[in-house]
Amino acid sequence: MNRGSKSGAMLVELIIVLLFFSVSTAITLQLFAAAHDKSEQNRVGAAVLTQSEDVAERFYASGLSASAFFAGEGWVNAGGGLFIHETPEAEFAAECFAEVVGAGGAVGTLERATLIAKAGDRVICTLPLARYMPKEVAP
Amino acid sequence: MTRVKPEYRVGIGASSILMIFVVLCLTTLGVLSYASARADLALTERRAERVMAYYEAAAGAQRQLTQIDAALRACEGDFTAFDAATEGLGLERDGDEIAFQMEMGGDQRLEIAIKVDFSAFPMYDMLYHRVVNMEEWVIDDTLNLL
Repeated sequence: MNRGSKSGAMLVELIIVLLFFSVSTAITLQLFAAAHDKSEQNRVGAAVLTQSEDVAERFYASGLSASAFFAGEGWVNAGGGLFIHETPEAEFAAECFAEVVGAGGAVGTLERATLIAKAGDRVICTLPLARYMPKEVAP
Repeated sequence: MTRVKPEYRVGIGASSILMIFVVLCLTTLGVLSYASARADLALTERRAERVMAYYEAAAGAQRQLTQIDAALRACEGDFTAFDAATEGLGLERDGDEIAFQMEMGGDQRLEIAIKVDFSAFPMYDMLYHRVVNMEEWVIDDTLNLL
């Protein structure tokens, strides 16, 4: 084999290797980017879910009416029983209702709220909350 | 006599093979990290479903308590009247203890029990409010671990 054809073969080999390397690198980078994206979604989703559970449990433990609880937590009252709270990662909304049970509240009140947690356009969870407060313990 | 010195030369082939090996390693790591991230996300989504199912059941239980309390107040100490008023609510009464359950799906349910005291206000005390797994726990004793 003369010197010219040998260097030509080497060049072809080099080009094939570079081509393989570039294609594989592109695929690998996309994979890492997708993995990072999913991992970030998971991190935010888990954190927002934990925060939502925390709010729900504090509501159950508070002994307050739904609107008084969310107002006391510093959530912004958007009117019509809707309270909004924003964090850098998520947006929470709570729609509060109070169902009076029995004529003139003779039995008690069912305090209800629907807590919706969103991260970007993704709804992480929708928690229906309800706490029955007999009239003797109602605030 | 002159000895011919052997010539050692690393050609392009060795470095190519090394590069291919490195790229294959990177690709494998990328696939593994993607699979792991996807599995974690699926687990979080499943957890979100379970949390929503729990609060749905807990809210249902509170609505049930509303009806029970209204019936207790209306029956004025007469459990026969109470049973008639709450027929169809799925309550199990044993003396002054009333139990009911809310389905949560996924082989789980929320069990609630209250103890009635007509002389007190409110007329009941919560005995338990617990999530119970209905799936039978099968112990794997095929390995002799001790």
